Amino acid sequence: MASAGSGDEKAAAAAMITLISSDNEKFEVTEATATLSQTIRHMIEDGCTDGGVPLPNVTSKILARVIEYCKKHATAAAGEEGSSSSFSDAAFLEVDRAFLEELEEFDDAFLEVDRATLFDLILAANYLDIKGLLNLTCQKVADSVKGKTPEQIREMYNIVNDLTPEEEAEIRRETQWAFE
Amino acid sequence: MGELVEEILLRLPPSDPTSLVRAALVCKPWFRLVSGRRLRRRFRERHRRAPVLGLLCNSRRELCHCDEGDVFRFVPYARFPGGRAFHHNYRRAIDARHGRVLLRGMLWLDDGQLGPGEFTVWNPITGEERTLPPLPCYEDWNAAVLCAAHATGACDHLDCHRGPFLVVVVDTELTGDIVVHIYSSEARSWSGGQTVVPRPNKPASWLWPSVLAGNSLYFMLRRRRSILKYDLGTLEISVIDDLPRTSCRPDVLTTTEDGRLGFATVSKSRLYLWTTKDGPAGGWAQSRVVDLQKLLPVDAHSVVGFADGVGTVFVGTNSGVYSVDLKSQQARNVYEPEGDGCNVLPYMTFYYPALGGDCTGEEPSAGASSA
Repeated sequence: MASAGSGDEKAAAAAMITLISSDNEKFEVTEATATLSQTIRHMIEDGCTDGGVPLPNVTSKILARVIEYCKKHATAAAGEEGSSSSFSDAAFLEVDRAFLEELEEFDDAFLEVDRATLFDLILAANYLDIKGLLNLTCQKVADSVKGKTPEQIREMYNIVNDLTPEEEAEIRRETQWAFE
Repeated sequence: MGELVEEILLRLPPSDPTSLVRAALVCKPWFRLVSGRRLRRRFRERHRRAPVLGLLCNSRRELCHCDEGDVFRFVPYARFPGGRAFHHNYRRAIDARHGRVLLRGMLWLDDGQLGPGEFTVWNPITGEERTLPPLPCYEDWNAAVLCAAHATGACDHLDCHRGPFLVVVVDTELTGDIVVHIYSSEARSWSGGQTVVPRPNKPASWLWPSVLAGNSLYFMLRRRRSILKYDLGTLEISVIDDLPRTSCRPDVLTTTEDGRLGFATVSKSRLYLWTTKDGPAGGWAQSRVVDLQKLLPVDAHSVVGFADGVGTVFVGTNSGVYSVDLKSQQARNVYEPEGDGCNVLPYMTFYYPALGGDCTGEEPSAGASSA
Protein backbone atom coordinates (compact mmCIF):
# COMPACT_ATOMS: atom_id res chain seq x y z
CA MET A 1 0.00 0.00 0.00
CA ALA A 2 1.01 3.61 -0.38
CA SER A 3 1.58 3.94 3.36
CA ALA A 4 4.68 1.75 3.05
CA GLY A 5 6.65 4.54 1.31
CA SER A 6 8.72 7.01 3.32
CA GLY A 7 7.72 10.69 3.49
CA ASP A 8 10.56 11.69 1.17
CA GLU A 9 9.47 9.27 -1.47
CA LYS A 10 5.94 10.58 -1.23
CA ALA A 11 7.10 14.16 -1.73
CA ALA A 12 9.25 13.12 -4.68
CA ALA A 13 6.37 11.16 -6.17
CA ALA A 14 4.04 14.11 -5.72
CA ALA A 15 6.48 16.34 -7.56
CA MET A 16 6.34 14.14 -10.67
CA ILE A 17 3.95 14.95 -13.51
CA THR A 18 2.90 12.65 -16.34
CA LEU A 19 2.64 14.22 -19.78
CA ILE A 20 0.74 12.35 -22.49
CA SER A 21 1.57 13.02 -26.14
CA SER A 22 -0.94 12.98 -29.01
CA ASP A 23 0.15 9.43 -29.90
CA ASN A 24 -0.51 8.39 -26.31
CA GLU A 25 3.05 8.04 -25.07
CA LYS A 26 3.58 8.88 -21.40
CA PHE A 27 6.50 10.99 -20.10
CA GLU A 28 7.29 11.32 -16.38
CA VAL A 29 8.90 14.65 -15.57
CA THR A 30 9.57 16.65 -12.42
CA GLU A 31 7.30 19.56 -11.61
CA ALA A 32 10.26 21.92 -11.96
CA THR A 33 10.76 20.72 -15.55
CA ALA A 34 7.06 20.76 -16.41
CA THR A 35 6.39 24.22 -15.04
CA LEU A 36 8.70 25.89 -17.53
CA SER A 37 5.50 25.59 -19.54
CA GLN A 38 3.06 28.24 -18.34
CA THR A 39 0.20 26.16 -19.74
CA ILE A 40 1.13 23.18 -17.54
CA ARG A 41 1.89 25.45 -14.56
CA HIS A 42 -1.69 26.75 -14.70
CA MET A 43 -3.04 23.20 -14.92
CA ILE A 44 -1.04 22.20 -11.83
CA GLU A 45 -2.28 25.27 -9.98
CA ASP A 46 -5.83 24.36 -10.91
CA GLY A 47 -5.25 20.77 -9.72
CA CYS A 48 -6.08 19.21 -13.12
CA THR A 49 -3.02 16.99 -13.49
CA ASP A 50 -4.21 13.80 -11.81
CA GLY A 51 -4.00 10.92 -14.22
CA GLY A 52 -1.57 12.81 -16.45
CA VAL A 53 -1.68 15.86 -18.68
CA PRO A 54 -2.94 15.11 -22.18
CA LEU A 55 -1.22 17.20 -24.86
CA PRO A 56 -3.23 16.42 -28.01
CA ASN A 57 -1.27 18.95 -30.11
CA VAL A 58 2.18 17.52 -29.46
CA THR A 59 3.59 14.28 -30.86
CA SER A 60 5.86 12.06 -28.77
CA LYS A 61 8.83 12.90 -31.02
CA ILE A 62 8.41 16.64 -30.40
CA LEU A 63 7.43 16.28 -26.75
CA ALA A 64 10.65 14.35 -26.09
CA ARG A 65 12.65 17.26 -27.52
CA VAL A 66 10.64 19.84 -25.57
CA ILE A 67 11.23 17.91 -22.34
CA GLU A 68 14.94 17.71 -23.13
CA TYR A 69 14.98 21.52 -23.42
CA CYS A 70 12.96 22.06 -20.24
CA LYS A 71 15.09 19.64 -18.20
CA LYS A 72 18.28 21.45 -19.16
CA HIS A 73 16.88 24.90 -18.52
CA ALA A 74 15.18 23.89 -15.26
CA THR A 75 18.49 22.44 -14.00
CA ALA A 76 20.33 25.61 -14.96
CA ALA A 77 17.76 27.76 -13.17
CA ALA A 78 18.00 25.59 -10.04
CA GLY A 79 21.82 25.64 -10.21
CA GLU A 80 21.85 29.41 -10.32
CA GLU A 81 19.54 29.66 -7.33
CA GLY A 82 21.62 27.21 -5.32
CA SER A 83 24.94 28.83 -6.11
CA SER A 84 23.97 32.37 -5.23
CA SER A 85 24.09 31.73 -1.48
CA SER A 86 27.23 29.64 -1.29
CA PHE A 87 29.73 31.52 -3.45
CA SER A 88 31.44 34.85 -3.20
CA ASP A 89 30.42 37.41 -5.84
CA ALA A 90 33.41 36.69 -8.04
CA ALA A 91 32.95 32.93 -7.78
CA PHE A 92 29.26 33.34 -8.42
CA LEU A 93 29.96 35.34 -11.56
CA GLU A 94 32.32 32.60 -12.75
CA VAL A 95 29.73 29.91 -12.14
CA ASP A 96 27.10 32.10 -13.74
CA ARG A 97 29.21 32.54 -16.85
CA ALA A 98 29.98 28.83 -17.04
CA PHE A 99 26.27 28.05 -16.80
CA LEU A 100 25.40 30.54 -19.49
CA GLU A 101 28.09 29.21 -21.82
CA GLU A 102 26.95 25.67 -21.26
CA LEU A 103 23.34 26.67 -21.90
CA GLU A 104 24.29 28.48 -25.09
CA GLU A 105 26.14 25.41 -26.32
CA PHE A 106 23.15 23.27 -25.46
CA ASP A 107 20.78 25.64 -27.27
CA ASP A 108 22.97 25.71 -30.38
CA ALA A 109 23.09 21.92 -30.51
CA PHE A 110 19.36 21.73 -29.74
CA LEU A 111 18.56 23.84 -32.81
CA GLU A 112 20.40 21.47 -35.16
CA VAL A 113 17.16 20.07 -36.55
CA ASP A 114 15.41 20.02 -39.92
CA ARG A 115 12.93 22.78 -40.79
CA ALA A 116 9.84 20.64 -40.21
CA THR A 117 11.00 19.79 -36.68
CA LEU A 118 11.88 23.44 -36.04
CA PHE A 119 8.32 24.47 -36.97
CA ASP A 120 6.82 21.70 -34.83
CA LEU A 121 8.96 22.95 -31.92
CA ILE A 122 7.66 26.52 -32.48
CA LEU A 123 4.08 25.28 -32.47
CA ALA A 124 4.68 23.24 -29.31
CA ALA A 125 6.50 26.10 -27.56
CA ASN A 126 3.59 28.37 -28.40
CA TYR A 127 0.93 25.90 -27.30
CA LEU A 128 2.77 25.02 -24.07
CA ASP A 129 3.70 28.69 -23.55
CA ILE A 130 7.43 28.16 -22.97
CA LYS A 131 8.86 31.64 -23.54
CA GLY A 132 12.54 30.69 -23.75
CA LEU A 133 11.93 27.93 -26.28
CA LEU A 134 9.63 30.11 -28.39
CA ASN A 135 12.25 32.86 -28.45
CA LEU A 136 15.05 30.44 -29.33
CA THR A 137 13.19 28.74 -32.18
CA CYS A 138 11.65 31.90 -33.67
CA GLN A 139 15.04 33.64 -33.58
CA LYS A 140 16.52 30.66 -35.44
CA VAL A 141 13.95 31.09 -38.24
CA ALA A 142 14.42 34.89 -38.30
CA ASP A 143 18.20 34.40 -38.60
CA SER A 144 17.68 31.95 -41.45
CA VAL A 145 15.82 34.50 -43.60
CA LYS A 146 18.34 37.31 -42.95
CA GLY A 147 19.78 38.54 -46.22
CA LYS A 148 17.57 36.18 -48.27
CA THR A 149 15.48 37.33 -51.23
CA PRO A 150 11.68 36.86 -51.11
CA GLU A 151 12.06 34.03 -53.65
CA GLN A 152 14.62 32.26 -51.48
CA ILE A 153 12.43 32.64 -48.37
CA ARG A 154 9.41 31.18 -50.22
CA GLU A 155 11.48 28.26 -51.42
CA MET A 156 12.97 27.59 -47.98
CA TYR A 157 9.60 27.49 -46.24
CA ASN A 158 7.27 26.28 -49.06
CA ILE A 159 5.29 29.51 -49.14
CA VAL A 160 3.05 30.21 -52.14
CA ASN A 161 3.32 33.73 -53.49
CA ASP A 162 -0.25 35.03 -53.64
CA LEU A 163 0.72 38.65 -54.32
CA THR A 164 -0.35 39.80 -57.79
CA PRO A 165 2.41 41.23 -60.01
CA GLU A 166 0.74 44.64 -59.55
CA GLU A 167 0.84 44.36 -55.75
CA GLU A 168 4.46 43.27 -55.85
CA ALA A 169 5.34 46.18 -58.12
CA GLU A 170 3.56 48.58 -55.78
CA ILE A 171 5.53 47.36 -52.74
CA ARG A 172 8.79 47.62 -54.68
CA ARG A 173 7.85 51.13 -55.80
CA GLU A 174 7.16 52.19 -52.20
CA THR A 175 10.44 50.75 -50.99
CA GLN A 176 12.70 51.54 -53.92
CA TRP A 177 15.49 52.49 -51.50
CA ALA A 178 15.76 48.85 -50.43
CA PHE A 179 16.67 47.68 -53.94
CA GLU A 180 19.03 50.42 -55.10
CA MET B 1 0.10 30.24 -37.74
CA GLY B 2 -0.13 33.99 -38.49
CA GLU B 3 0.57 34.70 -34.84
CA LEU B 4 3.77 32.64 -35.05
CA VAL B 5 4.91 34.28 -38.29
CA GLU B 6 4.56 37.56 -36.38
CA GLU B 7 6.79 36.14 -33.63
CA ILE B 8 9.40 35.36 -36.28
CA LEU B 9 9.20 38.69 -38.15
CA LEU B 10 9.46 40.46 -34.81
CA ARG B 11 12.96 39.03 -34.50
CA LEU B 12 14.34 40.42 -37.77
CA PRO B 13 17.25 42.80 -37.12
CA PRO B 14 16.40 46.55 -36.85
CA SER B 15 19.93 47.26 -38.09
CA ASP B 16 18.81 46.07 -41.55
CA PRO B 17 15.44 47.65 -42.48
CA THR B 18 15.48 45.84 -45.86
CA SER B 19 14.85 42.52 -44.10
CA LEU B 20 11.29 43.69 -43.30
CA VAL B 21 10.79 44.83 -46.92
CA ARG B 22 11.89 41.45 -48.28
CA ALA B 23 9.57 39.73 -45.82
CA ALA B 24 6.66 41.89 -47.03
CA LEU B 25 7.31 40.63 -50.57
CA VAL B 26 7.03 36.93 -49.64
CA CYS B 27 3.22 36.66 -49.71
CA LYS B 28 0.02 38.52 -48.83
CA PRO B 29 -0.23 37.40 -45.18
CA TRP B 30 3.39 38.46 -44.56
CA PHE B 31 2.79 41.78 -46.32
CA ARG B 32 -0.27 42.42 -44.11
CA LEU B 33 1.76 41.66 -40.98
CA VAL B 34 4.72 43.88 -41.95
CA SER B 35 2.54 46.81 -43.06
CA GLY B 36 0.22 46.51 -40.07
CA ARG B 37 0.26 48.69 -37.00
CA ARG B 38 0.56 45.78 -34.56
CA LEU B 39 3.92 44.43 -35.79
CA ARG B 40 5.26 47.97 -36.08
CA ARG B 41 4.40 48.64 -32.42
CA ARG B 42 5.70 45.28 -31.17
CA PHE B 43 8.92 45.62 -33.23
CA ARG B 44 9.65 48.95 -31.51
CA GLU B 45 8.85 47.52 -28.10
CA ARG B 46 11.10 44.52 -28.61
CA HIS B 47 14.15 46.34 -30.00
CA ARG B 48 14.57 49.07 -27.44
CA ARG B 49 17.74 50.57 -28.88
CA ALA B 50 18.10 52.54 -32.06
CA PRO B 51 20.71 50.83 -34.29
CA VAL B 52 23.60 52.56 -36.05
CA LEU B 53 22.40 53.14 -39.63
CA GLY B 54 25.44 55.07 -40.79
CA LEU B 55 28.50 57.09 -39.90
CA LEU B 56 29.02 60.81 -40.25
CA CYS B 57 32.73 61.33 -40.76
CA ASN B 58 34.45 64.70 -40.52
CA SER B 59 37.90 65.62 -41.67
CA ARG B 60 39.75 68.72 -42.83
CA ARG B 61 41.73 68.95 -46.02
CA GLU B 62 42.91 71.37 -48.66
CA LEU B 63 39.88 72.27 -50.75
CA CYS B 64 40.95 75.17 -52.96
CA HIS B 65 43.62 77.90 -53.13
CA CYS B 66 45.53 76.15 -50.36
CA ASP B 67 42.65 76.80 -47.97
CA GLU B 68 41.83 74.02 -45.61
CA GLY B 69 38.15 73.27 -45.30
CA ASP B 70 35.81 70.82 -43.64
CA VAL B 71 34.75 67.73 -45.52
CA PHE B 72 31.90 65.66 -44.22
CA ARG B 73 31.19 62.20 -45.56
CA PHE B 74 28.21 59.95 -44.94
CA VAL B 75 29.03 56.23 -44.79
CA PRO B 76 25.84 54.12 -44.64
CA TYR B 77 25.90 50.94 -42.56
CA ALA B 78 22.51 49.76 -43.73
CA ARG B 79 20.05 50.49 -46.52
CA PHE B 80 17.29 52.93 -45.62
CA PRO B 81 15.60 55.78 -47.51
CA GLY B 82 18.25 58.42 -48.07
CA GLY B 83 20.97 56.03 -46.96
CA ARG B 84 23.39 56.74 -49.80
CA ALA B 85 27.11 57.37 -49.52
CA PHE B 86 28.02 60.96 -50.35
CA HIS B 87 30.23 63.80 -49.22
CA HIS B 88 29.93 67.55 -48.75
CA ASN B 89 32.82 69.98 -48.95
CA TYR B 90 32.74 73.01 -46.68
CA ARG B 91 30.44 71.33 -44.18
CA ARG B 92 30.97 69.64 -40.84
CA ALA B 93 28.68 67.38 -38.82
CA ILE B 94 28.72 68.91 -35.35
CA ASP B 95 26.29 66.56 -33.66
CA ALA B 96 23.84 63.74 -34.40
CA ARG B 97 21.09 62.63 -32.07
CA HIS B 98 17.51 61.34 -32.10
CA GLY B 99 17.60 60.78 -35.86
CA ARG B 100 18.82 64.24 -36.80
CA VAL B 101 22.16 65.67 -37.81
CA LEU B 102 23.40 69.17 -36.99
CA LEU B 103 25.63 70.54 -39.74
CA ARG B 104 27.67 73.70 -39.83
CA GLY B 105 28.57 75.23 -43.17
CA MET B 106 31.57 77.37 -44.07
CA LEU B 107 31.46 80.78 -45.73
CA TRP B 108 33.99 82.87 -47.57
CA LEU B 109 34.47 85.99 -45.46
CA ASP B 110 35.17 89.50 -46.80
CA ASP B 111 38.87 89.06 -46.12
CA GLY B 112 39.01 85.97 -48.34
CA GLN B 113 39.22 83.56 -45.41
CA LEU B 114 36.89 80.70 -44.66
CA GLY B 115 34.64 81.31 -41.67
CA PRO B 116 31.77 79.49 -40.02
CA GLY B 117 28.52 79.50 -41.98
CA GLU B 118 24.95 78.63 -41.06
CA PHE B 119 23.61 75.81 -38.94
CA THR B 120 21.47 73.24 -40.75
CA VAL B 121 19.48 70.41 -39.21
CA TRP B 122 19.29 67.47 -41.59
CA ASN B 123 17.06 64.41 -41.42
CA PRO B 124 18.86 61.72 -43.46
CA ILE B 125 15.75 59.52 -43.72
CA THR B 126 13.41 62.12 -45.19
CA GLY B 127 16.20 64.20 -46.74
CA GLU B 128 14.70 67.33 -45.18
CA GLU B 129 17.07 70.11 -44.26
CA ARG B 130 16.26 73.17 -42.20
CA THR B 131 18.66 76.08 -42.22
CA LEU B 132 18.47 77.91 -38.93
CA PRO B 133 18.30 81.71 -38.70
CA PRO B 134 21.82 83.20 -38.55
CA LEU B 135 23.41 83.10 -35.12
CA PRO B 136 26.63 85.07 -34.83
CA CYS B 137 29.08 82.88 -32.96
CA TYR B 138 32.63 83.56 -31.92
CA GLU B 139 35.37 81.07 -32.65
CA ASP B 140 34.94 78.83 -29.67
CA TRP B 141 31.53 77.23 -29.56
CA ASN B 142 29.88 73.86 -29.60
CA ALA B 143 26.34 72.75 -30.33
CA ALA B 144 23.95 69.85 -29.86
CA VAL B 145 20.70 68.75 -31.50
CA LEU B 146 18.04 66.78 -29.65
CA CYS B 147 14.36 65.87 -29.59
CA ALA B 148 12.32 68.72 -28.07
CA ALA B 149 10.46 66.30 -25.80
CA HIS B 150 13.60 65.01 -24.08
CA ALA B 151 13.44 67.16 -20.95
CA THR B 152 9.88 66.03 -20.21
CA GLY B 153 10.82 62.34 -20.51
CA ALA B 154 7.79 61.84 -22.77
CA CYS B 155 9.74 60.37 -25.70
CA ASP B 156 11.68 57.10 -26.04
CA HIS B 157 13.60 58.57 -29.02
CA LEU B 158 13.33 55.40 -31.07
CA ASP B 159 11.92 57.11 -34.15
CA CYS B 160 11.13 60.70 -33.21
CA HIS B 161 13.17 62.02 -36.14
CA ARG B 162 10.15 63.81 -37.63
CA GLY B 163 9.12 65.58 -34.41
CA PRO B 164 10.07 68.97 -32.96
CA PHE B 165 13.72 69.47 -32.07
CA LEU B 166 16.02 71.83 -30.19
CA VAL B 167 19.50 73.04 -31.02
CA VAL B 168 21.60 74.11 -28.04
CA VAL B 169 24.63 76.29 -28.77
CA VAL B 170 27.23 77.09 -26.12
CA ASP B 171 29.31 80.03 -27.30
CA THR B 172 32.39 81.51 -25.66
CA GLU B 173 32.36 85.29 -25.96
CA LEU B 174 35.51 87.38 -26.40
CA THR B 175 35.40 88.10 -22.65
CA GLY B 176 35.65 84.35 -21.97
CA ASP B 177 32.09 84.12 -20.67
CA ILE B 178 29.96 81.26 -22.00
CA VAL B 179 26.45 82.00 -23.25
CA VAL B 180 23.77 79.51 -24.22
CA HIS B 181 21.44 79.93 -27.22
CA ILE B 182 18.54 77.59 -27.86
CA TYR B 183 16.74 77.14 -31.17
CA SER B 184 13.27 75.65 -31.08
CA SER B 185 11.95 74.12 -34.33
CA GLU B 186 8.41 74.93 -33.21
CA ALA B 187 9.09 78.61 -32.47
CA ARG B 188 11.50 78.74 -35.47
CA SER B 189 13.70 81.14 -33.53
CA TRP B 190 16.61 81.40 -31.10
CA SER B 191 16.19 82.26 -27.45
CA GLY B 192 18.52 82.64 -24.48
CA GLY B 193 21.76 84.48 -25.01
CA GLN B 194 22.36 85.37 -21.38
CA THR B 195 25.79 84.88 -19.88
CA VAL B 196 25.56 81.75 -17.84
CA VAL B 197 29.13 80.84 -16.95
CA PRO B 198 31.41 83.75 -16.29
CA ARG B 199 34.86 82.88 -17.57
CA PRO B 200 35.31 79.14 -17.17
CA ASN B 201 38.93 78.06 -17.33
CA LYS B 202 38.71 77.12 -21.03
CA PRO B 203 36.44 77.91 -23.97
CA ALA B 204 34.00 75.53 -25.66
CA SER B 205 35.06 73.76 -28.85
CA TRP B 206 33.15 72.12 -31.71
CA LEU B 207 35.98 69.61 -32.13
CA TRP B 208 34.34 67.18 -29.72
CA PRO B 209 30.67 66.18 -30.04
CA SER B 210 28.50 66.54 -26.97
CA VAL B 211 26.87 63.66 -25.10
CA LEU B 212 23.44 63.49 -23.50
CA ALA B 213 23.50 61.64 -20.17
CA GLY B 214 20.33 61.65 -18.11
CA ASN B 215 18.83 65.09 -18.53
CA SER B 216 22.06 66.98 -19.17
CA LEU B 217 24.19 67.79 -22.18
CA TYR B 218 27.96 67.63 -21.68
CA PHE B 219 30.50 69.49 -23.80
CA MET B 220 34.25 68.99 -23.61
CA LEU B 221 36.13 72.24 -23.08
CA ARG B 222 39.37 73.06 -24.84
CA ARG B 223 42.53 71.34 -23.57
CA ARG B 224 40.24 68.50 -22.46
CA ARG B 225 40.73 69.11 -18.74
CA SER B 226 37.16 70.11 -17.95
CA ILE B 227 33.58 69.51 -19.10
CA LEU B 228 30.66 71.89 -19.38
CA LYS B 229 27.35 70.53 -18.08
CA TYR B 230 24.03 71.97 -19.24
CA ASP B 231 20.98 70.69 -17.36
CA LEU B 232 18.00 70.67 -19.72
CA GLY B 233 15.54 70.55 -16.83
CA THR B 234 16.82 73.33 -14.61
CA LEU B 235 18.63 75.17 -17.47
CA GLU B 236 21.60 75.45 -15.12
CA ILE B 237 25.10 75.30 -16.48
CA SER B 238 28.21 74.28 -14.57
CA VAL B 239 31.79 73.19 -15.12
CA ILE B 240 33.15 69.79 -14.11
CA ASP B 241 36.88 70.06 -13.56
CA ASP B 242 37.60 67.10 -11.30
CA LEU B 243 38.65 64.83 -14.16
CA PRO B 244 40.92 62.01 -13.01
CA ARG B 245 44.59 62.90 -13.00
CA THR B 246 45.79 60.41 -15.56
CA SER B 247 48.52 60.79 -18.10
CA CYS B 248 45.98 60.83 -20.93
CA ARG B 249 43.14 63.26 -21.43
CA PRO B 250 39.67 62.27 -22.63
CA ASP B 251 39.45 61.71 -26.40
CA VAL B 252 35.67 61.61 -26.46
CA LEU B 253 32.87 61.84 -23.92
CA THR B 254 30.72 58.73 -23.44
CA THR B 255 27.62 57.62 -21.56
CA THR B 256 26.82 54.44 -19.71
CA GLU B 257 23.66 52.36 -20.10
CA ASP B 258 22.32 53.77 -16.84
CA GLY B 259 22.79 57.35 -18.00
CA ARG B 260 26.10 58.33 -16.37
CA LEU B 261 28.78 60.44 -17.96
CA GLY B 262 32.08 58.89 -18.96
CA PHE B 263 34.97 59.30 -21.32
CA ALA B 264 37.21 57.18 -23.49
CA THR B 265 40.86 57.58 -24.30
CA VAL B 266 43.66 55.63 -25.94
CA SER B 267 47.18 55.32 -24.60
CA LYS B 268 49.84 52.93 -25.89
CA SER B 269 47.25 50.98 -27.90
CA ARG B 270 45.06 50.44 -24.89
CA LEU B 271 41.53 51.78 -24.71
CA TYR B 272 40.61 53.21 -21.30
CA LEU B 273 37.01 53.82 -20.30
CA TRP B 274 36.20 56.01 -17.31
CA THR B 275 32.81 56.70 -15.78
CA THR B 276 31.51 58.97 -13.05
CA LYS B 277 30.81 57.18 -9.80
CA ASP B 278 27.38 56.90 -8.26
CA GLY B 279 26.63 58.59 -4.98
CA PRO B 280 26.97 62.07 -3.52
CA ALA B 281 30.77 61.93 -3.25
CA GLY B 282 31.03 61.75 -7.05
CA GLY B 283 34.43 61.19 -8.59
CA TRP B 284 35.60 58.98 -11.43
CA ALA B 285 36.41 55.31 -11.78
CA GLN B 286 38.21 53.43 -14.52
CA SER B 287 35.53 51.04 -15.71
CA ARG B 288 37.31 49.12 -18.43
CA VAL B 289 40.64 48.64 -20.20
CA VAL B 290 40.71 46.99 -23.64
CA ASP B 291 43.97 45.86 -25.22
CA LEU B 292 43.55 47.14 -28.77
CA GLN B 293 46.70 45.38 -29.97
CA LYS B 294 44.80 42.11 -29.77
CA LEU B 295 41.92 43.49 -31.83
CA LEU B 296 43.52 45.75 -34.44
CA PRO B 297 46.20 45.04 -37.05
CA VAL B 298 47.69 48.52 -36.47
CA ASP B 299 48.36 50.88 -33.58
CA ALA B 300 45.44 53.05 -32.45
CA HIS B 301 46.25 56.69 -31.76
CA SER B 302 42.96 58.03 -30.38
CA VAL B 303 39.26 57.47 -29.88
CA VAL B 304 37.41 59.39 -32.60
CA GLY B 305 33.79 58.54 -31.83
CA PHE B 306 31.34 56.72 -29.60
CA ALA B 307 27.91 55.17 -30.25
CA ASP B 308 25.64 55.79 -27.30
CA GLY B 309 23.70 52.76 -26.06
CA VAL B 310 25.22 50.14 -28.37
CA GLY B 311 28.67 49.96 -26.78
CA THR B 312 30.71 50.77 -29.87
CA VAL B 313 33.75 53.04 -29.90
CA PHE B 314 35.51 54.25 -33.03
CA VAL B 315 39.29 54.44 -32.90
CA GLY B 316 41.60 56.26 -35.27
CA THR B 317 44.71 54.54 -36.65
CA ASN B 318 47.20 55.37 -39.39
CA SER B 319 45.22 53.12 -41.70
CA GLY B 320 41.70 54.30 -41.11
CA VAL B 321 38.97 54.30 -38.50
CA TYR B 322 38.00 51.04 -36.81
CA SER B 323 34.80 50.32 -34.93
CA VAL B 324 35.31 48.30 -31.77
CA ASP B 325 32.32 46.49 -30.29
CA LEU B 326 32.94 46.45 -26.54
CA LYS B 327 30.70 43.45 -25.88
CA SER B 328 31.87 41.06 -28.59
CA GLN B 329 35.40 42.55 -28.77
CA GLN B 330 35.13 42.58 -32.55
CA ALA B 331 36.82 45.29 -34.59
CA ARG B 332 36.41 46.26 -38.22
CA ASN B 333 37.70 48.94 -40.54
CA VAL B 334 34.84 51.32 -41.30
CA TYR B 335 36.27 54.43 -42.90
CA GLU B 336 39.40 55.77 -44.58
CA PRO B 337 39.68 59.48 -43.83
CA GLU B 338 41.14 61.68 -46.54
CA GLY B 339 42.45 64.46 -44.32
CA ASP B 340 43.38 65.45 -40.79
CA GLY B 341 41.36 66.01 -37.66
CA CYS B 342 39.00 63.15 -38.34
CA ASN B 343 36.11 62.39 -36.07
CA VAL B 344 33.09 60.13 -36.42
CA LEU B 345 29.49 60.54 -35.30
CA PRO B 346 27.21 57.53 -35.52
CA TYR B 347 23.82 58.15 -37.11
CA MET B 348 21.40 56.15 -34.98
CA THR B 349 17.69 55.85 -35.41
CA PHE B 350 15.03 53.27 -35.71
CA TYR B 351 13.58 52.93 -39.20
CA TYR B 352 10.52 50.81 -39.88
CA PRO B 353 9.61 50.70 -43.58
CA ALA B 354 6.46 52.57 -44.58
CA LEU B 355 4.29 50.16 -46.57
CA GLY B 356 0.75 49.90 -47.90
CA GLY B 357 0.66 53.52 -49.09
CA ASP B 358 1.02 54.61 -45.52
CA CYS B 359 3.74 56.52 -43.77
CA THR B 360 2.27 56.95 -40.32
CA GLY B 361 1.88 53.36 -39.22
CA GLU B 362 -1.91 53.13 -39.51
CA GLU B 363 -3.17 49.67 -40.33
CA PRO B 364 -4.09 49.52 -44.02
CA SER B 365 -7.57 48.41 -44.91
CA ALA B 366 -7.97 44.97 -46.48
CA GLY B 367 -6.85 44.93 -50.10
CA ALA B 368 -5.30 48.37 -49.87
CA SER B 369 -2.17 47.01 -51.48
CA SER B 370 -3.85 46.46 -54.83
CA ALA B 371 -5.25 49.98 -54.97
